[in-house]
Amino acid sequence: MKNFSGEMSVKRRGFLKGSLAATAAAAIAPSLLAAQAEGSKPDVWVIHGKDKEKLMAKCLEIIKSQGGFGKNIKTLALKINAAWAREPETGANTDPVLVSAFLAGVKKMGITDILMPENSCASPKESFTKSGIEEAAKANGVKMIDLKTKGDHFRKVKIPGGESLKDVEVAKYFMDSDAVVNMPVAKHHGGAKLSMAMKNWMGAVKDRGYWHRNNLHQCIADFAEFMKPTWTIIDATKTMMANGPQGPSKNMKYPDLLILSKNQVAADAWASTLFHDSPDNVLYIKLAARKGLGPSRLEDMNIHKIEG
Amino acid sequence: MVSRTVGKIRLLTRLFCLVLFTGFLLAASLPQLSRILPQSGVFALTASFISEKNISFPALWLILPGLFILAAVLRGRVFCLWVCPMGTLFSAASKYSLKWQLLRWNIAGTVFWAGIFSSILSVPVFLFADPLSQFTRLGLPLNGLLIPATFIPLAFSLALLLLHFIQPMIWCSKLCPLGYLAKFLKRDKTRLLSKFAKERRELIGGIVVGIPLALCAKKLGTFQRDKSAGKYPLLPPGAVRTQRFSALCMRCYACIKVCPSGILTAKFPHNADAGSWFAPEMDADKGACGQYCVECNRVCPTGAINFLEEKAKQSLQIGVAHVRRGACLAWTDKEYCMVCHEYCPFGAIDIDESPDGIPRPVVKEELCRGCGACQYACPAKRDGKAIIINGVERQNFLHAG
Repeated sequence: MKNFSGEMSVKRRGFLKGSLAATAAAAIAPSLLAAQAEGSKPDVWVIHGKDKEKLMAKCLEIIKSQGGFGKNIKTLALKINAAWAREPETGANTDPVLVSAFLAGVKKMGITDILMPENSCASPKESFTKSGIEEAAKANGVKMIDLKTKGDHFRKVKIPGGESLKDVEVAKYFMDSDAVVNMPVAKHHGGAKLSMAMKNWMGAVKDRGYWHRNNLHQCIADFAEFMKPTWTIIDATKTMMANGPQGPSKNMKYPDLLILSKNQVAADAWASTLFHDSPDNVLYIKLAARKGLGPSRLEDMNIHKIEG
Repeated sequence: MVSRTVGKIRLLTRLFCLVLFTGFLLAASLPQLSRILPQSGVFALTASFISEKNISFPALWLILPGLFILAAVLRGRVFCLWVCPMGTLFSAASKYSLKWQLLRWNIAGTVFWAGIFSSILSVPVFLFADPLSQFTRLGLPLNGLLIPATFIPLAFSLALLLLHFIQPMIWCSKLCPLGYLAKFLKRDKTRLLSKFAKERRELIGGIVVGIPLALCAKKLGTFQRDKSAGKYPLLPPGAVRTQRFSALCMRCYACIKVCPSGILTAKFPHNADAGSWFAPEMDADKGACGQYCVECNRVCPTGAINFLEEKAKQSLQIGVAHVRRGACLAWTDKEYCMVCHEYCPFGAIDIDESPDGIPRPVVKEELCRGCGACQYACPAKRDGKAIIINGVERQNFLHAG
């Protein structure tokens, strides 16, 4: 919990600000407690299969065997990618079948209070319906939270060790829930090269524009220091290889994979190899690894290839 | 004079109509109602007919004006005395009037013909001179449409109301072109000839006022257009072109009200023909026109915004994006940005890679629909938005891509 001790020992001048941020940060402590211990090699499960429901069932089985989402978990905030008004087959958003299977599985595990906040890029109404994710949520009795609607959605937090991103307004649901799960889709991205787990957090903040103006890759890596989800599940059942992040693209691949890890840098690094020779080709992975947030080299992770 | 009983019935009818109309105003957030409401304005439709020869809207929409015309032919100003909500308000105010004579002459005929002749030149005077058009737009600020343009009918109506505390019935008896029309339509065979003599004077008066007025307005328009040569306002999809749109649009702002993205707005006159003053237009700083959205097309009561199928809308080019390289984070600040590329629903932004590997945006004009997604999302701040949408002279369906 290096970041918290750093946070607590603020200088007097920054004390007020710092204590505010620390209070905010303390709220996410439960989700962070479950994060990877530093030093050891993080596990990455690469689950292969054509049937998305079976794939997610296998994924949840592994999660359960690894301590689930933690002890005494009552609320879970799920960050999907429902940013674009695109049909599921485009691969612009997280696959709704996976979302539905995940929600059903989590409910079976006894967690009934699930929140799905999203700050979409295209019109929220069009994005949530075209992506099929709103329907998947509804089918499981979960309501999506449209972060674009008026209301008190965000809370300002300090980013520990942030180089470009020093403070940011984050959707409070991710800080107030007992567990946080990031379930992005892996795809090509015109600005960031690839969009996977760490990039997906841009849909949880209020002002994305700031990231674009102030060294996008550094901001993505900085935010990963603050937001460490309990689990990261990358949807790589189909990957948009060009024209991302919105598509549609004719250049599609179907790896039929889910990438699961407690460490989002490791998950991103593995997923990036579906697109590029080396994870280091994606600057924010390299920067996050340099910050000690996780490994960018495959030999620094325990990779478990599983047939789902 | 009417008998006391008829007088009472009439008062009740007028109050009922006033309440009904006011109810419509308050309920105008419902697209269906906001579509019915402005139809009761005869002039907006008349003006549209004359200036653009538009018969595209269904005949159903002509029922209310049709009733007005029928009543006028048979009974003259029966509408004014029994229905008109403005008339009811004004006669109430007139009861407490100072009874000063501000305006001695009845110039309603001149106002009417000036309106007709300026409509022929596509300057919609009736938008401001039609009491119903004013009344139907009174409730816009109450409906949460807090743009300056929506306060004009409110201010106009309030000013007229105040005027009635000075001179009784000044609007209804001296100015109202709608009342003039009702009187004009009532055909009285016995006095046909003498009536024509008076009407001819009014008609000539209308030509003398209306044509120069319209020409001046047009001249002003051309003068302003010179300053912004080749620039066209960004119009809602289906508006086709500026002149057609502003002539058909009755400024009911149902489209602005219903627009889910907030891109539709009405601005104070700028760089435009007087005929298009206060017409709705798009401001991509405020939102992006939804790829699958046809809400404004559904609610427009006059056909100023054509009905479009979702598919047709997607291939309609309403504007073209333009990159301002000096303001661009990628071109000038060497940032990894490409937000415009990211947000473009139509793949109309190409990536041009700089020697140091930074992607920079270039617009593929043949694919750009002008939806404004790029402008709305553009994060550049220092010199304003680095990508902006320019309206096109005429909206066209793209066949490529």
